[in-house]
Amino acid sequence: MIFQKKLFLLPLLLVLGSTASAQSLSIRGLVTEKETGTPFELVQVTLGTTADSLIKGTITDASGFYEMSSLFPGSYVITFKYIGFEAYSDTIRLDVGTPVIVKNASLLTAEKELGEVVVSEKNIEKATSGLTTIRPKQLRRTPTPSLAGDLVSYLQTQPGVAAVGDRGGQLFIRGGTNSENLVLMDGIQVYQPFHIVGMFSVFNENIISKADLYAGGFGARYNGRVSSVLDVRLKNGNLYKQNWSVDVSPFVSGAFYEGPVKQGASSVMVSLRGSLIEASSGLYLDQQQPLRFNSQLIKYNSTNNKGINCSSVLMRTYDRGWLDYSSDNVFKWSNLVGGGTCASVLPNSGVSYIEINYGASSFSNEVISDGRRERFSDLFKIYFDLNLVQNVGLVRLDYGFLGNYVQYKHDISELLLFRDEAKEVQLNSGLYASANINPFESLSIDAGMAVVYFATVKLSMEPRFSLQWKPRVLKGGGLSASAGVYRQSEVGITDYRDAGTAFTTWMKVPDPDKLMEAYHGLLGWHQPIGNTLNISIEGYYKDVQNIPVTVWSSVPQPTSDLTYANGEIYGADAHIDFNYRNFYSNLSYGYSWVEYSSKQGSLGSGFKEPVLKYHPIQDQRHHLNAMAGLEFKRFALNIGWAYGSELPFTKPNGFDSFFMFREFVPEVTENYGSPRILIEKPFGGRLPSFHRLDASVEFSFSMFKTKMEFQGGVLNIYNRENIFYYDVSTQRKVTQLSLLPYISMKISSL
Amino acid sequence: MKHVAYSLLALTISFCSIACESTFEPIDESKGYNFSMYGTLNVEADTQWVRVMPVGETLIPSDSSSNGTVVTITRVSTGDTTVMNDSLFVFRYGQALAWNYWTTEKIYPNEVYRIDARNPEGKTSFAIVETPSQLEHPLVQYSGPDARGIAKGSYSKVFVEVSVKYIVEFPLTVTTEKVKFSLLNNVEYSNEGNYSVSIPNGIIGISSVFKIPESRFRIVGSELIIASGGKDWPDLSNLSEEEIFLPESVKNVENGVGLVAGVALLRMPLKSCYNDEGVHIPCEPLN
Repeated sequence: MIFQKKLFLLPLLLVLGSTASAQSLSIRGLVTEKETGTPFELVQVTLGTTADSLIKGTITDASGFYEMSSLFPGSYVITFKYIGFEAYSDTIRLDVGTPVIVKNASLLTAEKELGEVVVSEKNIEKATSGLTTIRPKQLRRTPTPSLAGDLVSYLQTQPGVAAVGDRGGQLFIRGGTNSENLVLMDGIQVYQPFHIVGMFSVFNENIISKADLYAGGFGARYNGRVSSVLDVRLKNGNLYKQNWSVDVSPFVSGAFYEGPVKQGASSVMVSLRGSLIEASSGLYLDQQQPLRFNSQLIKYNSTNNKGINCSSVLMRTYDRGWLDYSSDNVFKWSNLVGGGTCASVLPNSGVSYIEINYGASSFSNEVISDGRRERFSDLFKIYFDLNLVQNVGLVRLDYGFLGNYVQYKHDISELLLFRDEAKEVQLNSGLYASANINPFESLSIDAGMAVVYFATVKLSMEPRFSLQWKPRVLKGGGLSASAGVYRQSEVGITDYRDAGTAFTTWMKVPDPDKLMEAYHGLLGWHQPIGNTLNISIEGYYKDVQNIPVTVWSSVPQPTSDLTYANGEIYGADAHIDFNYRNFYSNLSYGYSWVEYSSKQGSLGSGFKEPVLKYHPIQDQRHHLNAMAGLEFKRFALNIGWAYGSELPFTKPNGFDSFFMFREFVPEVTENYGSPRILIEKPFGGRLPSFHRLDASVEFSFSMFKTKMEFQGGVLNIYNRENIFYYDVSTQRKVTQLSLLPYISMKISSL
Repeated sequence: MKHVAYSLLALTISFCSIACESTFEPIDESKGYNFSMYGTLNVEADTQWVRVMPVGETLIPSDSSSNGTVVTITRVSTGDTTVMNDSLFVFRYGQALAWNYWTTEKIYPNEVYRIDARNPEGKTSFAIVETPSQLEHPLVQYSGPDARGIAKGSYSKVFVEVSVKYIVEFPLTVTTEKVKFSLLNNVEYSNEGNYSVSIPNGIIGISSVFKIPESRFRIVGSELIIASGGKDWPDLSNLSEEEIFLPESVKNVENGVGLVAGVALLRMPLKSCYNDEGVHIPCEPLN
């Protein structure tokens, strides 16, 4: 605890010391894409006496922000470069009368080769441990039945990311459950952005600027989750030109529009998506897929001549369907989120950059059985956060404040069996600070602390640490490591005894003294080889504590009784990317080991173990993914093969009808008894492994000032019978999609 | 470029070659559970009933075949073995079927019996059952209308069941239901070896169970049940409900699951507390 306090004081001391060094000259600014005003990350910014000379250089951060300090008075040429965009240079003059100059820049798209851009980005990126940055162009590389590539399809190709099946929208990231993952959209929390058809989400390639997936070891800015963060940044609508597209496939149709509201100053972007699979499956599949989803998103963006960029976004999603088509249970969920963000570079201030986020997120999910609302869980969250950047000498400080208020309401009572309904609220507030230091050119260290006060629970001090080391001898390669403490005050309970569920009960942690808690440690190495090959490998370890899980019982009925589990998670992910001209490919492998230990109330003694140890549903040991693609003139070919080793399920020893010898002597002629599942341990069995081969071919051409695209493809080419889940109660095997051919079409403005 | 195309083609073909059907065995048979056996051997009864079912592959079996199961009962001290008769019972409006096996062989107190189940494939399960001493019939004193009466007697061992069972008629739906109330916690034991227990009239309890007023049902039959268990009667006092449900927690069946216990169980019909017009009246005192 003493160590934690000292660590937290470090950035504060650096802030206080900032006045002493604020007299040096500096230049700072925001770099955006000219067409949309979207912040531009990884732009090379150089300062010299001519356009070709170099005195100082840096790259823009995720917000498009850069700053160079400790400069001398004089005239300089500042140049902004990014492959695929036209370089921009300007002459600036620094003098002691203006210690800080703000220089914003917008870069205009040039003709570019996609493959080169991707490789170059990988060479520039800091290779933060646990982080995978996903760009919209990559999404189309996963063969999915839509010409608007989707983030969730791509995520499932990443090692360490496991899905139960192709329905339900539940993702497990490096041993963490769906409710332990934080999903942000322009800073707004979205509780369930993944659609009921597992290949689709609200995030398609038309609307995203980039997505950062932190599979662990994330920094102090992110809080409230113990496993991972998916930080999605939406792009802005085009400030100068109207663009539109309409796409249709047997699974989904979509429409997209972007255009200026005020030329060069403000824009709007609209995206609509709706499923078609429910209707189309009846026409050409042997089994109708009773799954429906839709989403609507609108984003407004404005920028003024003082460099203040503001945007607001409103999004709604709706999902409904049967995960097991022959059961009575219908799952439904919806999100309604809205919020805004404003960011600006500050002149004449010790604080260089300010960003404010605010908004509200509402989520509702329910189970309907025989037309009756059997269970539901709703929540409503409002939030505000303020994020600041300050450079103090060679130290960059990121710090800020956050506050949120959440209302939870649920009723999971089982008719005539038990009652469980509650309404509760939670108020959270916190501070975070993180200092980035580069003691050597090749070494970057981040040390930070999040201090979160869970008003109805307790104070949480969460130190975070990461480093990147890129010695010259590795020629662009480097080592990265991170570690941190993470806590979570809200829990999402899913009764994973039944894998075929998509229902989650959201609530505060049941015991205020037991916040969910995780300790992460990551160590990775990445190595580019030339301009065509990238290799990376990363190991991780997570120690998780106080994970609420449902009490295990051999009685085949839902339960709301909770107990706590502690867990140990470790594994390693490896990636090989090979891109050559118009050919790209990657091979990834993930190994993961997850074990929970739980006292399970008094049940542990029944298993003749003081503590029950088991491998929960997300314990997928091996995950292998191979993707390849080729672009040739107007054609593009994509092929992908995925393998996931056996997922745990509860394997019964059989079934019988049980008589309780308590208070009454059994009367076998009068009563049937209680149906009982004979089990030794939860998740004691394993489902067969999953593997599937998908492929698609795309063809595009221009006609009448529009671009026409056609896609033909096949899912599950060799018709593998992949089991989605096995219903222990009904002994029914529910399978995933079988061989499925499709044709898609897209028309868009040029 | 051709090399790439050929490589992809080869890859596709190799993937297709592994498109074999997955073998999936959802039931783990390693525990060797052959039969589920539940029931009692009652030294006070003329007929003994034991539930014997193969450990199923489905939660609620609907197969009406007994699969050739033979159930025998053996008096260990004499070696006398009797084949029990099978009888198919239908529960849950025909959705659930169960095989009960019965015999009218005399069951002696303080004896050891062995019940065996065997199917044609040779799979077996068995239970060893020890019977208790016989019970002394209690004396029932009627009163009313708040209490039905008091049962008294002497005891040698704490009871495993003291209950009153009502047969309830619902005139509106012309249906009858059976409902039992445990009196086990109400029994007062004296140091002299006597016990007494108050018997409720059942009206309040039945109203509460069925959530209807007294005017919508009538009690058409009732009986007092008193039982004491043998040495193998399970002690559940330190087990949670979840633990009791575990297959290995409460059992005396080898190569199977379940419990067959010895018991001395008496049933004594109680006198009606209704007049000829069906109106509830104070119960007639016995003494």
